[in-house]
Amino acid sequence: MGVEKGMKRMIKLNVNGEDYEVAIEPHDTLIKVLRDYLGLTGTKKGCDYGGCGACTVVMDERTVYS
Amino acid sequence: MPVFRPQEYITPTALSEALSILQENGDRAKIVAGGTQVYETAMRGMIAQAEKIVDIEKLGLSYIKEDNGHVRIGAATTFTEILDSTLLEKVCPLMVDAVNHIRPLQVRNAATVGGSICSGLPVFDIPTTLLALDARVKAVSSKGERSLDLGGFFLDYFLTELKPTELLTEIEIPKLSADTKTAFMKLERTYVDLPTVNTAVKLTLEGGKCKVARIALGGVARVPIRAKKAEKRLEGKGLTDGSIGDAAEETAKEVKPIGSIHASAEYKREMCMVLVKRALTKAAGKVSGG
Repeated sequence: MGVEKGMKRMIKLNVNGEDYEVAIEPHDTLIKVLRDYLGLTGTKKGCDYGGCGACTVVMDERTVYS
Repeated sequence: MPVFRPQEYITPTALSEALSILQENGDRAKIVAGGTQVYETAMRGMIAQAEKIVDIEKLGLSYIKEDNGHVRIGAATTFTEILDSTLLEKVCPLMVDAVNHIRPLQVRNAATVGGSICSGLPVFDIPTTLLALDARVKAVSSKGERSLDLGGFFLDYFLTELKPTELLTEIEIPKLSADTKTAFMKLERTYVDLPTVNTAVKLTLEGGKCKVARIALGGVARVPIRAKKAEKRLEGKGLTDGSIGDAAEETAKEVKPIGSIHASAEYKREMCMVLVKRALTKAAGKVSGG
């Protein structure tokens, strides 16, 4: 769409005991990283703004919207 | 709709670093704390100008402490931390009471007190509560710091006194005297929805009479407001069904509610009266704070 892309950044994360290293963009949300980059589609996107709770994950022992 | 495509996500570890990013970039930098509001704002195309996202999570702004006369809450303190605070439970139970009315655990775990204020929305519970508590906020920039009365902080939807170069770092609440009673109430469609109307009240008593009254309301106008005429009606009087009823009716008279798809202006006006009456009655029946 001609939109300028931001600087990608490598991050490390551990999901359900597996280590991953992935390049993400500044506006990426956790659910996008999980589903689109890592292919872990168990987490679902519902309302897409943090209202319905479908995207809930446990991150660093905190229950949050992804 | 303008697309949100920031070029950089920065997580400064020192306050000075965060402030110089804000100084250099102005409104091209967007501050994020818990991230519960910013994503929706971005999706609606409202912060498309943001080139840099500044995450303030690692600046040590999560704390709740007291000194002589004040309770100080760091801007990045989450709602869960408010609920877990034995200090607040003791010296400012109204804050705990209000946060108890925000149910989604996912929000409590991420959303912050500072974010709730800086979003500049009139429907959140924290701003209403802090208005009733006569809170002030500390705004810091590379050029210095300001202490702002929350009473004049909110200007319009999404608009506050805070400059793009400033970071809100701390909320300062004057300690409540032993004779102070408080209560929080809200009307909501569902347990997880934002309130249609919310109210927080604070009553300081002296010799059985109400010396100072604070009645704050959210969801009514374009900014969180105080019902100052109703407060005056209550001051100098005992807390009886009569004086409480008068203050509630005065509230309904002085507010100028904005209708929405959830509630008409007339309905909101009626609800302001009902909620203020219930909140004042609840506060009057309780001792010291809670």
